[in-house]
Amino acid sequence: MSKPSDLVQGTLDLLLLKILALEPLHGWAVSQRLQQVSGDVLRVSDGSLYPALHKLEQEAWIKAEWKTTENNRRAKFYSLTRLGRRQLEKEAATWSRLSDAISRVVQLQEI
Amino acid sequence: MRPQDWIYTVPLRLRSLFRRNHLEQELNEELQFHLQHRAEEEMAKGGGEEEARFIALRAMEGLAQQKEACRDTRRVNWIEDLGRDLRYAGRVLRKSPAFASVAVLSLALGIGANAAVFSLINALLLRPLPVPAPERLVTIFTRTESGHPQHSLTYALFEQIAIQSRVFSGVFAWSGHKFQMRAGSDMVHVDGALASGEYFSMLGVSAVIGRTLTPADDQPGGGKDGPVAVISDGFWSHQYQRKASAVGSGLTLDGVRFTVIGVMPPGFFGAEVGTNPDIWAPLWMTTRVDDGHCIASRSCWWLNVMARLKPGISQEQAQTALKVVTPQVMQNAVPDWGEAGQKEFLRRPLSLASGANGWTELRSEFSNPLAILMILVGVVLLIACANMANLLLARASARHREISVRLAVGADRSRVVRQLLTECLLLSVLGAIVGLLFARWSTRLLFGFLASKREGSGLGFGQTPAFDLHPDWRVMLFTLLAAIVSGILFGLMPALRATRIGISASLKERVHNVQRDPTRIGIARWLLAAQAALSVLLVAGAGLFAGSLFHLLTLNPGFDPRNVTIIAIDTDKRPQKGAPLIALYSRLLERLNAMPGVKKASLLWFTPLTESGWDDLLDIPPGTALPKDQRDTDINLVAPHYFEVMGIAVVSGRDFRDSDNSVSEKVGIINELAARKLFPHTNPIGREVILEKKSIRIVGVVANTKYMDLREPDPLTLYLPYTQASDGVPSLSFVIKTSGDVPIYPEFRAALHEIAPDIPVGIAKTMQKQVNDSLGRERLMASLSVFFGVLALLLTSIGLYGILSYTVARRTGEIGVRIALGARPPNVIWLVVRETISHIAIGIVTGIVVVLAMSRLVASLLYGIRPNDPGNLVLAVLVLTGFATLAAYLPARRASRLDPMLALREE
Repeated sequence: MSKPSDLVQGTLDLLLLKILALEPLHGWAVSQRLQQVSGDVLRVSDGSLYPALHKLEQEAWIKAEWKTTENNRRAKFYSLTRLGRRQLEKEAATWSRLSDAISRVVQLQEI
Repeated sequence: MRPQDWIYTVPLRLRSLFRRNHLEQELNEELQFHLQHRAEEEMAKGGGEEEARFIALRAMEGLAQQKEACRDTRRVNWIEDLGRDLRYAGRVLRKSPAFASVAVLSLALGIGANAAVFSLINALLLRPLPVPAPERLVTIFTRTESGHPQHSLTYALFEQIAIQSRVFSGVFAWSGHKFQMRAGSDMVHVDGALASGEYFSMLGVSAVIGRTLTPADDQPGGGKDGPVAVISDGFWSHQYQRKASAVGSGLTLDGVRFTVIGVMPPGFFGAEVGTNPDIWAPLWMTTRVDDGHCIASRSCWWLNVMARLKPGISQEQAQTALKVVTPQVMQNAVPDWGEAGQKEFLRRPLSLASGANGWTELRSEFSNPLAILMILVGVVLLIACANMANLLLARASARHREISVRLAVGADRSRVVRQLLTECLLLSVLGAIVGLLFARWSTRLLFGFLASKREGSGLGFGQTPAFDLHPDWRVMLFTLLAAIVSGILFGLMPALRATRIGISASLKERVHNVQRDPTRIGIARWLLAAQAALSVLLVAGAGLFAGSLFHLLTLNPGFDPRNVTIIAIDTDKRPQKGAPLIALYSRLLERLNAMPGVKKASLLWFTPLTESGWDDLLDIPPGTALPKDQRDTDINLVAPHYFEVMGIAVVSGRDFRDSDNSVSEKVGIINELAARKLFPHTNPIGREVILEKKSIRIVGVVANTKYMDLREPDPLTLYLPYTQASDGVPSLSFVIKTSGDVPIYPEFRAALHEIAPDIPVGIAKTMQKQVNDSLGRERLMASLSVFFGVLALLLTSIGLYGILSYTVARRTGEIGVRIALGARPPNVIWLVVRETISHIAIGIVTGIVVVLAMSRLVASLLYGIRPNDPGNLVLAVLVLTGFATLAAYLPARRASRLDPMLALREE
């Protein structure tokens, strides 16, 4: 598997923040959810997921807690912090501005 | 990241740093959890357990790498890595103690020299006054006609500035003053200052006991508490044993009964850096402790003036506001000069400068030399760095395999570079630590040059400057920066080169072959060229400064300083300045002349070479049309036999006699230059000159001598008998010619104590010391630049020796073949030195160009030698070539004496 289908730089952060904004999840669940919601288009390799999560944690955008899963296993659950919510809003706004601009360019009629 | 987010992230970093094991365990558990899930998923698809685990691991794309990537996000890795690198570097350096000690020592010299010069600059120019908000203080000064800043102002100016300006919380002034005080049976001098009423409140420092001076104390005729004084912590210790009863007690200074009203905290020295006053009295007390002429006169320049800016006012705003009121201030404070002088005075500006680091007269004289010294030591450090880089390049060959192995087993190149750099930084920081010790010692040494200069000024009563030379955070920061910058400077290039080589190629090669790296020797040669260029700069600089000093030392001052002692005493506090004082001096002279070992004793007013003196415009009747600037004459008061004592020839006429006294005709003796200028083509004996509207008959002509300053051309000089001084006899100095090195001072002191116990014990100095002290700046520049020049030559020679030895070792086989085929020793030597010589030549030429471009910078510090003196440059190149030849000799000889058989067998 190549890099996460070359996700635009920084977009992975946005995706992870958004997913965790919905509910606290552990790493494995995050990877499942990513695949699920983006319909296999955006695949993140097992390997690169964890450095990305740890980075967000070190920025204090998400925080981790050890909890028991439904299968009675200990797992590290990530959830959004206040800083993270602010960051999510910021990145989401940037993203929509960017994608709007790009789609406008793409939809230009050829003469 | 926004700064306020730090409160969230800092605890995370700390956790990463201190709970490392815990985090490792968590990381492991988290990733295993993932692997397990992935494996379960694979098994659900129908695979074996082994295979599922394998697939899961592969999906991870390298478990160890991902773990490392996770650790990297903690952003504290560098700290952990640094620790590991430092430990490793320590081990490596311990294994090669010779290399480590040479490196640390040469860096210590380079960095230490920089730290020492910077310490001086810090003490003199950078250290803020130890008072609250020193940055709000400004100094106020004017400029002379020629644009030179003049920091001493008149009382009228101080008063007017205080009245007219609206931008200052307060303006304050002070003037240094030596108080006379009785200590036991002797009178002694105590350093002090007369300070205006706002002095302490504007500096913002209060007394630890009692109170400080207030404007109410500083009144004409004294305040309501009478004469009051504030004392220093040191004075409180040694005079009052730190008793609280000191405050309120009486203290007799200059014959005036003062009341001590307060004790200042330790470390407080006022606004003048480099002084250590023990007593502060109100400015107006000058009418009691002096004659008070200065506070009444509008042309006595005796005060330093500073002010504290009002809150919210910037220095620029204050300057603008001051500019507006300047004409008014100048108009109201115009001195009683002639019309032309007053006109010129009214055009003078008033300027502000930051007073954050106080004021010292040494600053203007030494800031330029210190800046040049800073450049010189910077160059020395560069040369040391070039040497270090060469050493490291050589070591890199030896460590080639180690580095190749590290790269081969997957170390990141940047990681290896970082590790090598850490080694360099460890070396340079160790160098800096040793250098700081070296600097502590050498700063004192350097400081001696400044101090001696100051002692030589005035009437011999100058105080030794007391600067705080303790290394503060500025010195520490500077030294650390110097260490880091030099570490990177000499370490980065060798580290990058060492890690550049392809892995497999170098691993396969034999160590022997690896050493044949043609570019490495190329770089080393260019480093050598740079060293040669910098050495030319330093050696030429040393030549200039040493040359200046030599010129000044061998200069004939016109008098013979050998076996001449000067003893200065202070008789200013004697009530009578006329006949009784003359009688006192005569008695003391008699006693001196009777002492064993004394050949002859005499008196003079201004000691030569103290940069102070008395000069005035002479007139000669009838109305000789000699322009003003050619009639300016230096004047001194002397007693009979002065010329005999100083070995100054009386060319014609006679010396002063005891019969030249206050009632006889006013007589004078001029020097040959004055005779030639004032009385061209005529015999000056018997003619008259006019000084301050009084006519003086010339009775003798003596040889020319230097007066105020050795560096200036001989001035026109007029000598007058001290007995005929128009304003009464000032404090004079005894000049005593002895036979050999006889100490007269103890006997003189006994005589003084017997004849006039109320006169403070004088201070004695030999004339030779006076000459030397007057050259403090030149001696500072000459000795340091020569020291640094020799250091540069040694470092460069070591570099050259290293490269040539390496060249010979590398080409042993080739040289052997050539010798076997009949090459003569000169051919062989040429072969070895050829390339290196061309690089040195390029370095020398570059150095010469740099010297020529930079020499203007030092022009003002030179005497009797031009900054681009060709002889000096030739000498510098010759000296460098000489050192280079010596350094090249050993390896070249080794090459020419190679036994071809041995050489070939080695190959």
